[in-house]
Amino acid sequence: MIRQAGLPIVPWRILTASGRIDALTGAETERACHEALRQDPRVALDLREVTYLSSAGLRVLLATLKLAASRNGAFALIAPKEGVREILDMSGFSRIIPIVDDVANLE
Amino acid sequence: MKQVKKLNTRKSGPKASRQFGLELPAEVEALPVLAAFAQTVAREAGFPERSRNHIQLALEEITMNILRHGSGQGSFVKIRATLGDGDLRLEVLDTGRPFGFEQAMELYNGIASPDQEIGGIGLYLVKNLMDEVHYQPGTPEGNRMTLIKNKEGM
Repeated sequence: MIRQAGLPIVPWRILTASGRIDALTGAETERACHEALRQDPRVALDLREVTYLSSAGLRVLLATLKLAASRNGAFALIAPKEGVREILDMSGFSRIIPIVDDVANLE
Repeated sequence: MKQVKKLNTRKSGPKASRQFGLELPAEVEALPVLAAFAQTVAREAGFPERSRNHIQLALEEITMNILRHGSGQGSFVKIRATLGDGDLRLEVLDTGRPFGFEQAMELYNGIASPDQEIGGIGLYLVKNLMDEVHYQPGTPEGNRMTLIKNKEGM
């Protein structure tokens, strides 16, 4: 394992979502994210294939961010499409959830 | 999911506005039908993809809000879309409990915080996605939410 300043670099667990994250599908996304966080402290959700994000989806992201914080972990989003990014920006969520354009940029 | 009850169109003249209607169960499973309706009327109105997606999201947020806070199981939501020369007007009618529109619209101000419960995000999005949002509780047709998207500047 690579170590830096005496601390282990904890790898990210990457989950991939696709299609819509809304009131219909949000529960499934939330279950998957929370299950991953129970196993790994750092979870990133790849949004490359997500075409639609509603307020129900935003609540899923917020709940996951809170769970990650409560476990001293981290939660991030990867490469949202323009329309999804617009909703993240409009809602103010892009200011509290880290967003990277590529897996390689997860810190 | 119950069957969608009706989908009708009315066109009363070459220059008159066109109207489309949809009546669907106030159930989350109706979302795909609602999405298709929103995309169809927005396309008919001549909106580009980005605006069509805004209209779809706004309509879904309003309908989900009715589902969560107003209409109970077994009730229906009526949607009327009027395509005018310069705008698209969507009226969402329900017969459930009216809600405190003004307060709900102020619940969220766009500043997200991981430390607190956030309510009103859906209505906040609607306010930003559409040009006008009006609510009239208790009309003869039920509670009426009106969403307007202008073609100008789209």
